[in-house]
Amino acid sequence: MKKLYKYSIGLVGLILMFGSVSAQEGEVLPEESKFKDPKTKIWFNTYGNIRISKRLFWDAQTHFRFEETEDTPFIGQIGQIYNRHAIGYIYSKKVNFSLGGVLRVNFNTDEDSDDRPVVPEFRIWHQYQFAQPVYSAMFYHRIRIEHRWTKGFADDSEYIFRNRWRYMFRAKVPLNNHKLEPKTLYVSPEAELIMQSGKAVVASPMEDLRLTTTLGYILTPRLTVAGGLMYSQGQTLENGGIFKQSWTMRFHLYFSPDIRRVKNKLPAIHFDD
Amino acid sequence: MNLYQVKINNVRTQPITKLLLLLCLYGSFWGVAQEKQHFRGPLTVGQFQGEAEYDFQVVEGDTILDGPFSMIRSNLNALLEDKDNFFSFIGGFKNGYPNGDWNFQFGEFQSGEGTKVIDLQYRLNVSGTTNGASGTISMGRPNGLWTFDSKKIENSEIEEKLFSSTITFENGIPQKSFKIENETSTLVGRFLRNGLAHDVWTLYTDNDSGTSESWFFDNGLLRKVEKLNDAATEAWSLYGSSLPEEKVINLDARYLKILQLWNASLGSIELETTGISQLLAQNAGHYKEIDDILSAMGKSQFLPEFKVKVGHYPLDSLETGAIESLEKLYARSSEISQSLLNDTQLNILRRSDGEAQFLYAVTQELHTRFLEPNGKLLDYKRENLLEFIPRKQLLDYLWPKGMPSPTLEILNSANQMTRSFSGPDLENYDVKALDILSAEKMLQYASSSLDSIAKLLNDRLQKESRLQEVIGLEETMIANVDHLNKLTDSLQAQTSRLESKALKKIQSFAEDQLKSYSNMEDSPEKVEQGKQIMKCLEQLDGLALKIANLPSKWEHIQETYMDAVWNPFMANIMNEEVKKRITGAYKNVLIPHVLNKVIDGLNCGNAQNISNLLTNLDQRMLELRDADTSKLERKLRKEKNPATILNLFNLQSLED
Repeated sequence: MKKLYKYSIGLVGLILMFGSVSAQEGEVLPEESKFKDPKTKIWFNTYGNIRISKRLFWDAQTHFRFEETEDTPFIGQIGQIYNRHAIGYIYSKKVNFSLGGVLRVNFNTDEDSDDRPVVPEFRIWHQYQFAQPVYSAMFYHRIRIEHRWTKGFADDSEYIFRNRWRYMFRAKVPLNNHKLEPKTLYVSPEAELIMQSGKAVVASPMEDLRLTTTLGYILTPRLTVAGGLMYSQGQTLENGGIFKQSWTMRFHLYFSPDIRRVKNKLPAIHFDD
Repeated sequence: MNLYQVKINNVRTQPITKLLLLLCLYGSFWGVAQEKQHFRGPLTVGQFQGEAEYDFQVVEGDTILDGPFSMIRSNLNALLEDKDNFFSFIGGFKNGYPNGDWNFQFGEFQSGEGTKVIDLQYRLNVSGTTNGASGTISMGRPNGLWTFDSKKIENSEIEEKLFSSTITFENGIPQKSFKIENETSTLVGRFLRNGLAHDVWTLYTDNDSGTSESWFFDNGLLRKVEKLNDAATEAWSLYGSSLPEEKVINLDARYLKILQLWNASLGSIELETTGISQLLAQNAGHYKEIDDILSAMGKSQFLPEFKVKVGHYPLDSLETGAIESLEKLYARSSEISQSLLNDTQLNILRRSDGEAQFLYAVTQELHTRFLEPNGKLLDYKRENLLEFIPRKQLLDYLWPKGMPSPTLEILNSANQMTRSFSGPDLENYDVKALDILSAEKMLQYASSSLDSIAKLLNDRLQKESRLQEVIGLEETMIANVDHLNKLTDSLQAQTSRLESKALKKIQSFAEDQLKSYSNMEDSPEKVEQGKQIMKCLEQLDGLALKIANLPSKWEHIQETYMDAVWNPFMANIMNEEVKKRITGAYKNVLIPHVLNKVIDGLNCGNAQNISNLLTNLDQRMLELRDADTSKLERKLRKEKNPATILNLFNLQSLED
């Protein structure tokens, strides 16, 4: 049964790639894993957490992701515009959950392609986040599960469905202060493993491993900026033996306005007591 | 019979007629009830609260008691628990006056030991005291025999008779013989029909000492008092055979005082009337208790009026005038002499200054020889005794050495020399006979003498005190400036540039003040100026402290203007500055404004105002933290003018 899938996918690949070398590679695992040349990307990410009630907030993220191209080697051209929204529930000061949807707009960055220039992608996602104070630093564990519908740029490309299983560990260590508070510079190493499953996923369950370090600065309790560098690698969907790699510069803006009326804000911080 | 039956039958057959008849009957009862009403319920009379029952009428809105009256209280529970204050007042009223037979019982019982059941009743022994009074009252006045007794009860048996009195009255006037007893003594005596004390009143002591006291009255006039003590007799003759004028007064405390003074002014040994007077006072107290109860409910004149006669020597109009002027002169001159004699500074000065010592001694002499006797005279006047002692007898008693000489001889104890003093009014001092008019002249002379002495002494004292004051003032002033200097020096390091500039200004300003003071000529004005500068220095000191505290105040304000906010990205709580426009206006506009005011325009007139503004501003900042300030913050957006901001903060701006 499994073999049949493999062959059918291979067949699809064969038809799609039209006898190219990569089509053949997709079919056959290489002797040794192969690593593609790393791509460079630049991400501009905004993260909004907008308090709407004592325990609920609106999680609003918009990312602009640029990829290098041959014409514009460094900054590249826009690859994805990424809209992630959710309603978050503050369980306690250290634990919160979110449930929402993603609309990602993928742009075809292949300058030679005659396929569709823009393809939407849909996800339903939910996330469980736990914070843990350690000395002056904080550790965070994030489990994010996404149900994802994607399709390629080819005109006849159909939506395929996959699940993504993501775990991220992140630390935030204040550099010029004894705790994370306004006017504090912090360093944040993080590691995220993204696994995937679904009919289309045959030999490449490890979609991405991201290793990042960012440097952040807390401007006010409601505004933080950060920037860093990420290295990532993962199996290509077509062939589990071939790994893609990338170096990404990431710039983040975190904002958390509170649109509640003044009287509803009080007491602002006491969730449990 | 038939007619009656017919009528009844009629009524029976006609319900409307029946109703009318009933209404008529009700109406007539109602009419009677309006005349006289009955009360039954709780009542408070003075300190007594109990259940009362009585009849009364309402006449022009007033409740007039009329008919039988009873008011009682006893509480078994209270008795069993601890003690019970019981009472019962039973009697009657007529047209608002107590009238008829009355019986009063009151006291306090504690439950004693042992209970018995006899004839289906619990019997409980009690201990305590009981007071009783009974007799007849005729329109508010005692009439007939009245007995009072007060007993100490131990286990329901009389242990001791504390007091008893038996007096017969006729319309409030005591009659015939009476008897008053307490634990230790018994007084017996009698009255004439008009209530005047008559014959021998004798007080027997119950103990074995065999003492007795007898007052011999003759138609109200006390001729003699005799005291028998261990077989020795003391006797005082009081009123002789003839008196120019007599007056009937009540036998009360004043009468006893008249007797004392009469006796004393006669030069006899002191009259002791403790026995009889004490017993009479005790009796009067018991009558007063009953009178208080009766007066609270109706019109009553229950106090017994024991009458006696005394000699009467009324004041003529000249004497009355002299006494009035005496009162004023005395008040004035005794104030002067007291203040001089009690002046601590004078008491120190006179030890080193011979002249002051001499004047002090003269004051003492004037006080004892001129003022004190006059003071006593006025006391007698106030107690209403003056008219009952012959004038000469009284004045001789007050000035036993005769008229004081206007020239006072003062002996100097250091050199045994005498020095005489005469007052400025010596020529007008013309006193021949000892009478009230000359007492007034004496006091006039003493008063003018004291005036002149006070003037002489006050000049000396003022000079002395000014000297002392200046020394004290200058010491404090220097200490103040020193303190200020130390304060500002120690604070320079901890404060900002503007603050330390302001502190320096305060320091130099204070030094200037001191300089201008030291350049002044010695004069009374200098003392005044010194006081002003002192006040100014104190204010400068306060202001410097306020400015020095600004950094800590600012820190406190910053802490106060923090709000804890939960940061979702960090999952922790952070402090957020709130109302930044208000804190900004404080830090960047108002405080620099105040400090610049100190640097450019500090003077003694505005130091306190600036200091007050800082206090008020700090207070206001703390208030604004929790106030709704959205409007204020909007107005502060572009405002940079300190006066406007102060106005917005509801604070008085500093005037230029």
